[in-house]
Amino acid sequence: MDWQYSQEDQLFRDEVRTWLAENKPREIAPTENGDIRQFELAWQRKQFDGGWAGISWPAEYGGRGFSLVRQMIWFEEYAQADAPGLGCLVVAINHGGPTLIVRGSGDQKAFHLPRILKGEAVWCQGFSEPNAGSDLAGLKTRGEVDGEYIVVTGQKIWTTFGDIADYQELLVRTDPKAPKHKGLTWVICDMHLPGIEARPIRTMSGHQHFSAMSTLGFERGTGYIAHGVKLARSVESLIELARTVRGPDGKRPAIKDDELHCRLATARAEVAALRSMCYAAISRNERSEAPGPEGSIIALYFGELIQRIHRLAMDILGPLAMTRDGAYGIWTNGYLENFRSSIAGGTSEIRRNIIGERVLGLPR
Amino acid sequence: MIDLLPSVEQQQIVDSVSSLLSDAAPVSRLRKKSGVRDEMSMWSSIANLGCFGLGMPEVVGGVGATIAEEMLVFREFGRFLLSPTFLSTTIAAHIAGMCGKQEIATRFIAGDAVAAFALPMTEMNGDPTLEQEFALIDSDNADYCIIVGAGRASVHHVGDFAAVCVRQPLDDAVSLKTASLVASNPVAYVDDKKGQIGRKVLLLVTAMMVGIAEASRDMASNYAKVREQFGKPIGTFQAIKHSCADAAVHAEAALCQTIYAALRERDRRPDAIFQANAAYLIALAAARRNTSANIQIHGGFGFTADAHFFLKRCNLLEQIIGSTRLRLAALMDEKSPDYAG
Repeated sequence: MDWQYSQEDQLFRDEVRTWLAENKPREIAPTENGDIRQFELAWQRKQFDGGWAGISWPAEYGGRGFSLVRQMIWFEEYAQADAPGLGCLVVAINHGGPTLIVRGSGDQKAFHLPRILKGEAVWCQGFSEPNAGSDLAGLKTRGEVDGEYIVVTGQKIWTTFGDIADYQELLVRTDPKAPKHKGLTWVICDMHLPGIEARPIRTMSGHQHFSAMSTLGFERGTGYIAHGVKLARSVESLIELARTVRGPDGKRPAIKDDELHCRLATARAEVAALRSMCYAAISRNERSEAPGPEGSIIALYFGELIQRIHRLAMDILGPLAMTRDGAYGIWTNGYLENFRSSIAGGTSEIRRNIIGERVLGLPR
Repeated sequence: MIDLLPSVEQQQIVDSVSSLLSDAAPVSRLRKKSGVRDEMSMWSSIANLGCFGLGMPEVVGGVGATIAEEMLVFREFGRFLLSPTFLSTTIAAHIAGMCGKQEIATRFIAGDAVAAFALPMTEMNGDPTLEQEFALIDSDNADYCIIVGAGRASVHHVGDFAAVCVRQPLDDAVSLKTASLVASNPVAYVDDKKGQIGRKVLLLVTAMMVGIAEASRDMASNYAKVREQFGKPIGTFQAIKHSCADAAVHAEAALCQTIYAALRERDRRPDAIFQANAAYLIALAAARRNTSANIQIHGGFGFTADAHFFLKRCNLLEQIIGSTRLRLAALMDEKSPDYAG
């Protein structure tokens, strides 16, 4: 057990911090779909030109192939610098690209991987269907091989950024006679093809994006490092907020209220524990090749913690929590937005099943 | 090095303790009443492993290890529900060592003297006053008692407590007496304004709570694998499975934060106080939650058989630390930690 950064790692941290301070976008991220795409692709290109694209990708595919500790340092500094999230590039960088690296053909790798790293392609995910959510293997979209083509028929849903994506990683059933978990094929779908109709859905928070959490790498512990840093910053700014807004008695600041004070302290402790859990996951994965199922513990903990913290923010705001515009909108919008945190990328219920069965060995 | 897991050497320490305890200290031993049970039979074996002097320098007979190793050992002590007297004796050795009473420290380390906790029944503001009432925890075989809190720590002869009254303990695996302190000349005394002793108690109680949370998780999930109702193991039902999964989440959060806190304390980092208080709060929540869930998952057997020992011990250990509200306040008083260092 040891937690001391080597001098090389400290220097690496300084380098990352300096680069991010000098290069992260200064302008406020746009909210319109077309502008989002342009903004996020440009930021990805800037990271590529600076040599910071694909930090977890192997070097032979154009990535940096950093050690887990360096990835962790990158994510910590990235979140600390408040650099913009992956946004519409999340599927390409965290899921589509890594899937190609493991299973793609030489041609597929040569074509797609550089485009992803350079910020030239947006990917979306075509996994869920109206009748196949948690039970993903129940998906019905058919893929029939017809000569050089696969003819796809069916409907996907919650295809975040589907309206601005160039490619989709699409799961289709190519062998209807095979058992449920077999007979599925992962295909790359060109989103500009005719015959694809994308209908935007509004989420409960009013956005059009129901983003799969950017959590690939959660198995290795690095995926939640940035989330953890951001959440720690959120709690600290919530403490500041509680010092400025009036508390339930209408006289003293909210932080003077016993109950709110205790809940803020608990939030601080829980965010610290989240970070330590990521550290432990990284330590475990430094020792073993294949990541264990423990990553689901962090995912579950994070999803519910961020919801508790936003519920606390609502209680601190009191009547100010009625509005979504203005200075406190970050909290009220976040409150609504984070209902996805226990749903997207695997519901809390499915995560509990995984923990019960694969971590504790309970019967199915 | 960036590594939160025990090293090979640390794991050897843990293994030697846990193999001793799995033979000598099955939880079922607690079914016997504390007077009938001979908890002291383990005392010399534990002393021979060096546990009482693990974090003490070698010149006084200690092992020369750190709070990190102590934390790992006390996690095992929690798992096997060893009496809090093992902790109070370890702390007594530290107090004696810090104030230069090396001869006394050596006796504690060698297992030749036993110190029990004397917990104040009313809050202390500085040194205890004469006639102040204390609860003596499992002090039947104790030569000394320790009083820790209010920025000071002391070791007293057990004979300095009078008007001893035997009480019925909530945690019936230990004995409980109330008594008044009638002499004000401790055999060892340290000013603890910097909180070195206080934080050691905090971290090691936290470690025991981690062990309790883990043992309760394991006991509940092992039972859920074999107990059948409606023709199948109850662990197949999501109501049970998810409760076990939550136990795993709580235990993992508690363990990881406690390891990190111990390392920050060992390395004297500025966020040591923050991390230790956070670890205690997380471990307390885990131990409370998992001990209750363990009883519930055992159903009727939970209400009548061994699961309740963990719940009762959790309640006792809480009292060593005192009010949770003060821990929350202490956490809020600290600056937000800088993780880059």
